[in-house]
Amino acid sequence: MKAKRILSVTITAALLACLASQVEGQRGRRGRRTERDALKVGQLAPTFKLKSLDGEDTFDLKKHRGEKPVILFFGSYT
Amino acid sequence: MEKMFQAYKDLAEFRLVYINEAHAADSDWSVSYAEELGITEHDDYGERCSVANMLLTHKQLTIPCVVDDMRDAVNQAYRAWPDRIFVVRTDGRLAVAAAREPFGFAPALGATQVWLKKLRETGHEPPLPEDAAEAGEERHVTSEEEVKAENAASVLPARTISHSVRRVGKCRRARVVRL
Repeated sequence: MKAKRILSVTITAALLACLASQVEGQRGRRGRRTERDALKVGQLAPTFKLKSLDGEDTFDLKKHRGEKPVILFFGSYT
Repeated sequence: MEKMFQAYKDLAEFRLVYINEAHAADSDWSVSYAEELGITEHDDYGERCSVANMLLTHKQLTIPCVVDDMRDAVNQAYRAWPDRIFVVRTDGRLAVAAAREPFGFAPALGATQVWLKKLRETGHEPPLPEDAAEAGEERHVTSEEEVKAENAASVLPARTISHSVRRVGKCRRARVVRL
């Protein structure tokens, strides 16, 4: 009886872990909530180029090396 | 955020990187005010820019804003969603890397404030902590323009194509003769 209970708890835990990893993977594909490979202090910041909101300029992170530090606020309205 | 920008914009380059919405009305994580404002998941880059513009206007932000493309490439490289703060030193390494929201943003804002204050006081960037990660390999997030340029470069020049077509034509004729 006890062994059955342990087995059912183990299977449930395994299923939940599997489900959680699938959800995490789906979020990760959209850049969401994946901490496994989150950037850490000391690592080189990935360089990128993005257009300004007015579309007139392009911000190139690498161009600021050796000049000024860059503060990046990532976010959205909501 | 705006206050920090105003206080330190002479010392550092600030950018608001607008990424995909965290709580759009049609998402799993929707909030009521997203519905009121009509903010849904962006269908295209123009819509994304419109909402970014609305954000700056409504919140009276003057921080220069850049907009992630529809592939969410920069967002993914930084694991930035829903919001995060990073301080990039002049050597390209991260001095502050926020933890996941909602618990990460406020401490990172404080850490950024402290970092900038030290920079102001000493005139030098504060050293990296002893337990800082290795710099690691440099990664570049390829922009849509760079992808387009690469694709354009990989297409054969018109002269080469017409030459190839002629060659194919000759082969066909040759095959017909042989048959």
